[in-house]
Amino acid sequence: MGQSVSTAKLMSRRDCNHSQRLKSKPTALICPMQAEEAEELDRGSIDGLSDFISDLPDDCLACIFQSLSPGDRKQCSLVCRRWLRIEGQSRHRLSLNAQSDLYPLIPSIFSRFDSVTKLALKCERRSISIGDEALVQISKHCRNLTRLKLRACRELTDAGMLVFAKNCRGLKKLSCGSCTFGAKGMNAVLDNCPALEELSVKRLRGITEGVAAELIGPGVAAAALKTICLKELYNGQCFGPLIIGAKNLKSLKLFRCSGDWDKLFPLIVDRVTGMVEIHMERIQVSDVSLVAISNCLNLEILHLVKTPECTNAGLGAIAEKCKLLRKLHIDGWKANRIGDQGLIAVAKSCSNLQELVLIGVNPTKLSLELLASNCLNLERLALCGSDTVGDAEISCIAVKCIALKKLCIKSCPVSDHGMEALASGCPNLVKVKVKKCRGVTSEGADWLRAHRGSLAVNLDTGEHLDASASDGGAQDNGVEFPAVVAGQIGAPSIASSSTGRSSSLKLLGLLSGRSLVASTLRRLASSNGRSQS
Amino acid sequence: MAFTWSKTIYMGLDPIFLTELSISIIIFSTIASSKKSRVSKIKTADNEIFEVEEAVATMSNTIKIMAGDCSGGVIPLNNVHSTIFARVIEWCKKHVDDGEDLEYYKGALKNCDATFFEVDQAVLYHLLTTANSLDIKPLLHQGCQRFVDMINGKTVEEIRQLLHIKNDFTNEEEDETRKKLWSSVVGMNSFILL
Repeated sequence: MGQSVSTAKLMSRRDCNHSQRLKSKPTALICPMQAEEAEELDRGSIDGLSDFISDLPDDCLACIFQSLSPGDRKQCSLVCRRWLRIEGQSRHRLSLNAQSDLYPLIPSIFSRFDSVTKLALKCERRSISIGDEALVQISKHCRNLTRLKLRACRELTDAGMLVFAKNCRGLKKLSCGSCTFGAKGMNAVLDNCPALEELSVKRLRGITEGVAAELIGPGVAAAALKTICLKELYNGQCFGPLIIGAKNLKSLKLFRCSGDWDKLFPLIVDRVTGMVEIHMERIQVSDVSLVAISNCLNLEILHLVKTPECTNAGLGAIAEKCKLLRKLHIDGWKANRIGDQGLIAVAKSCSNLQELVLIGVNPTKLSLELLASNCLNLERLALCGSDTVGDAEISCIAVKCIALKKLCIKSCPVSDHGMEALASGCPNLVKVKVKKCRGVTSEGADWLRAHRGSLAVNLDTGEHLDASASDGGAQDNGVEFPAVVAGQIGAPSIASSSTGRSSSLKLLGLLSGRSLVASTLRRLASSNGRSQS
Repeated sequence: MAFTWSKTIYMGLDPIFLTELSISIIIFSTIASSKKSRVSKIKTADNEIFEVEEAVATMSNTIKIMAGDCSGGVIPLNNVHSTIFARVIEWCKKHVDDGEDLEYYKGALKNCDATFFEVDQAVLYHLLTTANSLDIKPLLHQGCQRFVDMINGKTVEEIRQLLHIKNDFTNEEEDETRKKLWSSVVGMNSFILL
């Protein structure tokens, strides 16, 4: 066209004019002074108050909706027909009140929301839930479902689960709590969903007890299953074949499931060689299981909560062989079966240890010193309900624990004197939380804050001194450390509430499936390359 | 060069080798610097031509693909106006080194990019549409976030007023289907927990 080239200088002048004009107008309406700009950009309307949003492509609108909070999303869906349509189409996640009177609305709900892949059906305890026919209808509408969460849908039976499984063969994650179907229904899912990666079952009332119990096998999901979590099952043993058969299982969590697990663990470990994470809480396991588990050479995370038949010997066996251990939580229930001896074994062997939580365990300087010196990556430490953790122990940690970033002390005989040690020790310490330690006063906390400005000091004296720290269960303690919110359906929009960059990053990273390490590295790289903003 | 020669003779090093080395260093750095300043030529819908550094321009996936097809020639953008394109390029220049983490961009919106988006709806819409058609995800993300902030906490009617949207649900005349749709949508919404 022979047009002269816009040089950088010319561009920036234009730009400067634009930005000068526009910067003074932060509000929505276009004023007459900007007629020139409006004329240039406006493609058809006469006055400045036209509905630009109808020019916005559907994709953009969908992008906006997907970032809205659920409440805002609902409001937007009622604005106009186009928004209703797009809002419905762009919804992948849906959480419904699964009461029985949901049933007649199912066709209209799922024709509006035709792209749902993650569905939660939650019923209140006192209401009657949807039944099989509703579940079947939903499954016909949501053929591409990848995640299903059921809560207290007591009217669902094995038959309904079977039809559902046949219609939603792409299911990747199933989480059911307080349902009443049984082994047949569970097997139906396992036999029809070859992509099932995560199974979480809590209180499944239909599973029969005793010898006649029907066993639950891995079915076609054997190769895909990566995570199994079983809670409060009367007959957890019937899941035995499932666990043993899931040859690629990485994470196994057992909470308060009756049965003799010592018989199963050797069998499990024999077949499942790649186990990375094991949580055991109030189940019947002893050193027999721990010795079996020590053969999981890839084990990184171990939680032993209120299992008083597990002793130092068992922990030592694991420590010796599982050298990749990163996170260790022990709630000894004050039974004193696990103490210095086991922890020393951990210190000697598990140099990768990053996180250590000890509840109702009584370690002394002997083990703490060694842990601090040997575990050079120990970043997070929580000590709760220990009779033996006092000022000397805290000083020892302060002096020896170089990598420590977060420290939590609860219901221990620590005093202000011990806190003073933290002013100069632990060079990387970012946060310390002290709860229900009678000897630590607010003056002590203030002193520490004054002497170490960069340290966040959180003191909670508590109304009643709780002697037994382990009553609340493992969740109550060490709650600082960001919990893994593994694919929760219908999680509230986390984006809008960022408590701190690192924790929101972690949660968001986990939720969006992005590698935390990768994104952190990128951020570090970009913050170096970024010019001043 | 003379200095180099005398120094090398003094040090006993082979001067010819060093000369060759210097020449190749010069050539290499010329290549390197020319690579750095490779420009893309882009023509907007109103026939204005922009010369933009390749790294900046290819933040747009669309331009990246088109550059592959055009191989050195002028890339035509038939539905992007120069005014808006200039703004988009301004944003791209700022973020050329910032990588692809969308969450980072969300945070950046609160800080360095806040004023960039303090624009009228018309400009905002055009930014968003252009970011979409040029496939610049981080910019699209930020633009959407701006809308999210605008919509946050508002009622249906407030949203309509803010964005000048006509409500085609309600009507003055009796229309059974429209009323049914409205009430069923509202009723439906009450079953939706999230």
